Amino acid sequence: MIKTFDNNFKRGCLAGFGIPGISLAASFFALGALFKNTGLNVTQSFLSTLIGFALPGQVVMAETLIVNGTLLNILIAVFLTNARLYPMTVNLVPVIRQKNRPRWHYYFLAHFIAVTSWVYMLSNYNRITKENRFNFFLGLGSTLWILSTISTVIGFFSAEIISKEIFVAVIFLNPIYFMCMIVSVLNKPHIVLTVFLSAILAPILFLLTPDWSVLFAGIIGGSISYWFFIR
Amino acid sequence: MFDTYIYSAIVISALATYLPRFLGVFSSEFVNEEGKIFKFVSCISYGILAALIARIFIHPVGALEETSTLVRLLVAAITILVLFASKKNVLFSSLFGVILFGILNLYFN
Repeated sequence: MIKTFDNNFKRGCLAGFGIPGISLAASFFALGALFKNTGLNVTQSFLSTLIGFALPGQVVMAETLIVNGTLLNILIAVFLTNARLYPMTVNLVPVIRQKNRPRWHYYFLAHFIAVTSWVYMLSNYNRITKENRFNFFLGLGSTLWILSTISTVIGFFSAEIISKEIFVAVIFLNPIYFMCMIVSVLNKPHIVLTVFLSAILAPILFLLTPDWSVLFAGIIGGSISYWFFIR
Repeated sequence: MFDTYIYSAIVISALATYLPRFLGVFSSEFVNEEGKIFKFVSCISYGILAALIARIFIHPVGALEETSTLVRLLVAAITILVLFASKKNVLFSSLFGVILFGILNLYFN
């Protein structure tokens, strides 16, 4: 019998309440305010984070709703925006894989895979023994998910109270946190080259193809680095 | 906007978000932690994240669009210096970066 809700699960929850949770909550707080300005009600805002839980896709959904896009438009736009979750999931699951754990557990856990939880886990997995990583990630991811859902609702009700300057600074926390996390793990040549190339390529490709710039820059930067250092 | 339309949009978005996660778990069955595919996917994932961060700093969307690019890049550069000076303390550096951004944003906007 595999035990899931043990001390490693609790450790994951505690990690979620740290800087990953604070930075993500700040972003979803802003999302809640955006939803209110878009015309969603509080139940819809709550539901979006509860079952969607991937901020860029939720922003795209809100923007498409504003311009009265069709449901097919929304499906395609959100899928393309969140396509980055595919390589991240392929990358993460082998790291947290545990012998004898049923396959469906991973399909359930997949809902909690987002940039923040992925970055944290990939930066810290060496400190956690292989057989404890699944439980740790479940604690981390579920905590981030709950915090995000609550923050969306708080953001919704705070939309007219918070000053614009504070609101903008709060939004900035998430990219700053991502930047600090990725810079702090630049310890392998192939990761250094990948990050460097992709960061340069993304703004350039944005001028040619704004929608695909992130995906293309990541694929090109990552492929060059792989070819150069690993292949 | 009709409620039904919004609820449908939310459910469709959730499905479109879960699909890459689902496909990722499925594909991962053929990937092991030591293999070359894992390293390749790892490079791509880090690349996408770096590209995403760069795009947010240089071509942001939403509220950040109204802030100065120079301020965003200056804050990023100083925050990286603080990160190394603080022996890679992510919490301290992130909070430092946000506070610095908040202050500079008051003066340059």
